[in-house]
Amino acid sequence: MLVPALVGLALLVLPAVALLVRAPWATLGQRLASETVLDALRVSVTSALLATAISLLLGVPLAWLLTASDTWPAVWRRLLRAVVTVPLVLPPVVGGIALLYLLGRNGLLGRPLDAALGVTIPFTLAAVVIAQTFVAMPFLVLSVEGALRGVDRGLDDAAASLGASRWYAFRRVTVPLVAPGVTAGAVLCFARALGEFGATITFAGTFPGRTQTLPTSVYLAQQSDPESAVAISLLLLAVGVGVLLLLRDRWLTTGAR
Amino acid sequence: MSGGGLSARLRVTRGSFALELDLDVAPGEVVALLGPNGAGKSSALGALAGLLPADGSRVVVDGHVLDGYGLDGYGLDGYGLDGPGADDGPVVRVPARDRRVGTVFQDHRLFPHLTALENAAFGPRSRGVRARAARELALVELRRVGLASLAGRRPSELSGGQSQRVAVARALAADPRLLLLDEPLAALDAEQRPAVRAALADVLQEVRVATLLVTHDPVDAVALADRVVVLEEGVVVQRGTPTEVLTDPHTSYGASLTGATVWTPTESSATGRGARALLPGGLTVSSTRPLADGPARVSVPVEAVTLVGLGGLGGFGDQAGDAGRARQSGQARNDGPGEPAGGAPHVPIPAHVVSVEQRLSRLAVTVVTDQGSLSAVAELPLATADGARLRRGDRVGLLLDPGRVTIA
Repeated sequence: MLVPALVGLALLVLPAVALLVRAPWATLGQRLASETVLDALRVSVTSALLATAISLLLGVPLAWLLTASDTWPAVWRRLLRAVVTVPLVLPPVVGGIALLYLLGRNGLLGRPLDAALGVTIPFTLAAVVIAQTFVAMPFLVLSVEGALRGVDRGLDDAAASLGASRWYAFRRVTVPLVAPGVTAGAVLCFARALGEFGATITFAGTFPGRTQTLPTSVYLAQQSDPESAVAISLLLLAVGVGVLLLLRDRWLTTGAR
Repeated sequence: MSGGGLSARLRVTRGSFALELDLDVAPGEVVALLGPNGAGKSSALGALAGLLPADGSRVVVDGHVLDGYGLDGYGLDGYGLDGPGADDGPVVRVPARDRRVGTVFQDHRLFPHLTALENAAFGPRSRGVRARAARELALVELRRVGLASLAGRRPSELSGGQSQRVAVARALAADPRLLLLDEPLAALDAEQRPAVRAALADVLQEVRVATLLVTHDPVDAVALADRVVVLEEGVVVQRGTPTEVLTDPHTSYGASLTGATVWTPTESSATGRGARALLPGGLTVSSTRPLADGPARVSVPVEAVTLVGLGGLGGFGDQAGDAGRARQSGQARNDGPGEPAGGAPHVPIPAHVVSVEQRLSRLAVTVVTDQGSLSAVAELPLATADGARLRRGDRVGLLLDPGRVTIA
């Protein structure tokens, strides 16, 4: 039992170690401060923040719909859940191609959009945001759904019997109780959006300064300038570890409250 | 409609279940709603609180119509009845938040993210009272339940009893016109219950709010309530003081609260010295008590039952105890089996033991009569060998104390 466990652990840990060992520590700052990397960082952070914001805006109501679907016929309930969960199991590249066929110049919605408004989405920052939202939103939805289910419906009755309006109860009871779950979901969603590669490169390309994100720039750098690729990878690794610490802290405090 | 307190005609139907409960609770009065699971107690509370459908109910609290079902000839005190013709549907349904009906839930339902003080201040805050004033109101109620020192604690840091008291304080701080207590002690350990119950009794005594207490624990009813309403399968089967209901239960459920039994006679009548009932299987029972009102019944409290060995072997248990008590209460027990007692032939009724259980220092022996299959429970002192040797299937004689049996 122990040997396979250790092998598994090694498989998870050693790549990061290799990255740390092979990192060009001397030129790290310089490489990370290059225009390409700074541009990619800007595009990445902007798009991931936008994707998280959109996910919050659309995902929280979607999470509510999932909890409300309990009273639906089983077929519809399962269908809804499957639709929400598919992006989690779908290869992101497939998601990117699907988005192209929907919103591309000749896509289902893309063609009328282009014809009527002259708007083309693929290979723009908007495309980056849409691709990231598609892939990352389910993380937020499922996290918020869990939080909503965790709130005792009886508390609403208690609030009402004390004279609270629906809005007051929502503000003073529901929101504070689901807030930790929403925050955790948003952080998870942000991290996933920041690391998104497949859907982004398929649907938005990788134009420096416009649609090139950190992960896509790593991929390109790996072919021309491997040491820079390692440097950017370290940056992404640091962000990942940071998110994990943030989440752990979140979950610890909610557990104590 | 005049005067304060609660005046309710609850009529709720859900599927095949129908609740039909008329209730009046005077200001300052505590009424216990007693009944088995599924009797409709929760439906009644929910309807009164405005949290469950009230269908065709009519609920008036302190002169305010909370649920008005248009009834012929009823004015609705200016609440929304728009003409004499509008008497065939619910005309008023005040939502829960505007009813001023406070509920202490069985599971307390404290807000887990708020302190005890913030929980108690929630009601006043909901109604727009400023934070500081609301906190003061909350503190008054926390002080009343003796928890002012724990005002800063969150529910997770409170014991079950403390959390129950915060729930009471929170309900009272909202200044209810009617207080509903839903099994307020059910969530507590048996050890905590007496102290919390006594504290609750003190608080209710002090605040004098019309209170409806739902419980299935007879001790709650005796300790807290002025009156008891027994509800079974959606209908009222008995009303009275706690003592009346527990000493003369009208139904098997009421009897089971004290371990007593109720038999249904085929015929009962008044006699010169009391009353007499004919039971299934040809048995007769007599009582020196006058024929009672209410549904036909023979109430047999545990104290009325004595077990004797068949064939004149004498009583089980401590002679100076059971038999002595029977003698004091006027039964001619010492006349011996077969001789007239209280004007009625007093013969031990043949029965057999179905179970023997220990209750503290006594043994509860359940027997079933050979004729009529009527069950009865007797208590014997634990410390007597002949009682302790009783086992399932043993044949015994059953003697009933005519001074303690009620016939109606």
